[in-house]
Amino acid sequence: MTVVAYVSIGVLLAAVALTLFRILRPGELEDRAVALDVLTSVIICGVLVWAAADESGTFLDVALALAVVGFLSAVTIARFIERGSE
Amino acid sequence: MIALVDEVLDVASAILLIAGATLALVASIGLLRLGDPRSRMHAATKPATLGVVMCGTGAILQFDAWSPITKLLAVIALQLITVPVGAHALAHAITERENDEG
Repeated sequence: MTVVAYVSIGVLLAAVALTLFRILRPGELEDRAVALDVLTSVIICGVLVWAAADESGTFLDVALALAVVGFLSAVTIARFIERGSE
Repeated sequence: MIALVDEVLDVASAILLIAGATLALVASIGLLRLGDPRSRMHAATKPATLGVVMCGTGAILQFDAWSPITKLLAVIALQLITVPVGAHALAHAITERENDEG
């Protein structure tokens, strides 16, 4: 199980690196919002893998909070794109 | 018999966890490779959500108490509900702006 966790975490770290590269690269606002959404999902995946390897439910609250809050950024940025800062 | 069931669940959970992580990687590769905003949104939302669902299912197979299983089910349900809503809002905003420009 530990090997599986390390492999998964490695793959997820690669995903985080690519997504961060996409966020930091100059581009449109909505692309960055989408990339931030993906980053949230990838972090949730990492927390779930960690919890599975640990077999303790301690970290699951983190995943729960991220799942609740994660989409607010996308919706907020969408409103901003539609209406500007008025 | 119980040892065998444990073994099978462990293998299934390992496969699900690695598949979920790979799907997350696919989502981030799609963000970099695809050409226009809507394709990137397609790459971002579907594989990433399925990745979370697979990681969550893999994690559920590791637990035998109800408390963590309920939390994991809540995470999966929330992700399945909120990601389409966020993607829809962004796509709507992009369409509105294109209409204003054109």
